[in-house]
Amino acid sequence: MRGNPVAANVEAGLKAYHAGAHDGVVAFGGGSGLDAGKVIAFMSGQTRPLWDFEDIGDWWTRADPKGIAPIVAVPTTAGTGSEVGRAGVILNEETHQKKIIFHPKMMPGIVIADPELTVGLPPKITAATGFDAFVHCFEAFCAPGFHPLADGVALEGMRLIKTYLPRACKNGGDMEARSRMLAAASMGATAFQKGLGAVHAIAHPVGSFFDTHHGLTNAVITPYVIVHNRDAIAERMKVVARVLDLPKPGVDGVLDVGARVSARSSAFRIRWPRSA
Amino acid sequence: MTLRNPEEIGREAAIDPSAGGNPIPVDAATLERIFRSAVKGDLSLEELSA
Repeated sequence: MRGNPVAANVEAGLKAYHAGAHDGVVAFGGGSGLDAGKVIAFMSGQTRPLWDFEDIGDWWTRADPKGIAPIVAVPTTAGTGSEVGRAGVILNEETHQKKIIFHPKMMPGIVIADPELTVGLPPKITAATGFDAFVHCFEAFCAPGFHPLADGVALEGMRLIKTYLPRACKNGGDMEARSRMLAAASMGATAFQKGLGAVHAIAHPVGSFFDTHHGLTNAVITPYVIVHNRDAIAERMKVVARVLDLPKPGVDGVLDVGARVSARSSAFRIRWPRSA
Repeated sequence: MTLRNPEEIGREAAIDPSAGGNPIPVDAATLERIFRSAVKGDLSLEELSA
């Protein structure tokens, strides 16, 4: 599986699915494994090509819902939150574009979120995936629109990550931290139904062109987007700084932390495991 | 990251579905500028431009 999964990964999965006469998919892994597994389940009974189902307008209605296999999701990282999402991101290698494949029935019917499965994650991957979850919460909270439910989930998600991500990085066997991070990841993906923003908009093509780790890319870009959005998010940053108990209030308090994370993340080098 | 394909990054970012959720509207040129600032690692560049 590629770190940023491609159509060939989906095709290989479909081949195995049909060869084994299976009737469902257990999507196991980090965001890449979960997304690819969900898309394999989605495509298992479709007759149109994959890219016909990109998340544009009502293209999802092109799908035959009866042709979508049931999905069990088992996350092994705490970041993407794909286990509670209705989409999968697949890289189109011909166009260098990440395409979002969406259908309401891509939501896994069962999620097994077992923190023990994340214990083996090395600190750098723990940090990068965890920051992806943070940015999901952060961008959702900043997105325009009145959605107090999503805002509340996003704020608590950020608080959990601020509290437990450093602990999970420091001691991978800290089960309390690992379990809270899994919860926060699911909360981030729930909250971003409200919307995301420029961090993800930039991180997607950067990942497509440079095959960078998504969470790490988010970490590097976030403070630059905060600066750009400064005036529009000033009131919201007062709340974030207060909830996260930051030393300085408002945008400056959030930016101080974001700039430090970005600078440290820029020095990270994450090597993708490549099995295909 | 290196400063390759900045124009293309800006163009692709502008049509990414996530862009619509940004608190203020962003176009390709703005997203390209943010990307350039991030690659250079200089937050003051974005401070000056924003």
